[in-house]
Amino acid sequence: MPANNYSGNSNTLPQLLDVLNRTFVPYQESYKGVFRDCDIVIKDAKGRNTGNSTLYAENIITDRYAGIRVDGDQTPISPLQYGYEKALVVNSITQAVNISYGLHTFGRANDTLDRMQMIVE
Amino acid sequence: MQKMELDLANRFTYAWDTSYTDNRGNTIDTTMGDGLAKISTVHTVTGSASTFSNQVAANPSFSKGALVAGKKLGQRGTIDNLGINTPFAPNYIITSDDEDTVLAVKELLNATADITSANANTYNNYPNATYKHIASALVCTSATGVRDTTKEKFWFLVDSKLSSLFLTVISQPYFTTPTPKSNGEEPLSGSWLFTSGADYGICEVSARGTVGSKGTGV
Repeated sequence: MPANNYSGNSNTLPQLLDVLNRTFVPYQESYKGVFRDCDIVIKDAKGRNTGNSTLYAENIITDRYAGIRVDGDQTPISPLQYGYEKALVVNSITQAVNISYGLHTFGRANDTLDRMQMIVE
Repeated sequence: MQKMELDLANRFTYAWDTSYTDNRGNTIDTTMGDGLAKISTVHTVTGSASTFSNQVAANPSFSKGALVAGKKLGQRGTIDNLGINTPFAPNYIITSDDEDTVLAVKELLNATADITSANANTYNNYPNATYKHIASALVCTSATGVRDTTKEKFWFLVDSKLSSLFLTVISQPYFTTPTPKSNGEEPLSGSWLFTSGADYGICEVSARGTVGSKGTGV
């Protein structure tokens, strides 16, 4: 992370916020998740205020092979087959870090930043 | 971001389980639409009495022979909901970062000769383009972040075209900070509180397209 070259000598909040804004956003934008960004995982965005669950279902299928129709007979109608369904529930995943008064007043800047970096990543 | 990756990897870590407990004590359902774990010997389909297994017989550790057995299992066993055979063409190998397993995969994919052949320059049936290899420590990392050595040998073949592993995101990862006014302290403690989060969910409808082995030989 670029934050590693942070060399601030003061734990003022504006200074910390500046570092975080310069690191968190670029980090998230450039992040490539081994699993998240592979083809196996189907990414599906969901809008706000649309509930917290989505029902996913397998494709409806039918017999994939056609057959001989004897002259004069009707074409047999293949069955439509529904598959399984599974509900996905969206959860709010959060984590907080507490920079105590003592840490941001008496502590070293890098100690503070180490804690921040953990939740940024 | 790390939590999202861990949650996705845990779909493989707990592939033989129907649920697991996450780092905050919540129960995570890992069943497929048929109510069974991702890897099961008796997966059911909706329109036929046929069942299929996606566990490589005897759970061999990764090798050329095991890969062949896994692919054959998928080719023979993958059926649609009417019980009709479905093409299975895996393009991913997923393993932990276990060195023995990673080396075995790399040797297979990068060899310039058939690795079981004594003859040089024999045609390699498994060039890199055949499979993408995901080797992640998270595959053998529990939901609480502990390395589980009993899962280091896990390996999976996945056909991404058949995959139904969904990741739905309402809020991409965000970060909230105290406001600079009054230097952002909580009045009573003088602390600064920073929060990161994201709103997402994961589910998998069918295990079709995945075969797996524990790599333990039993």
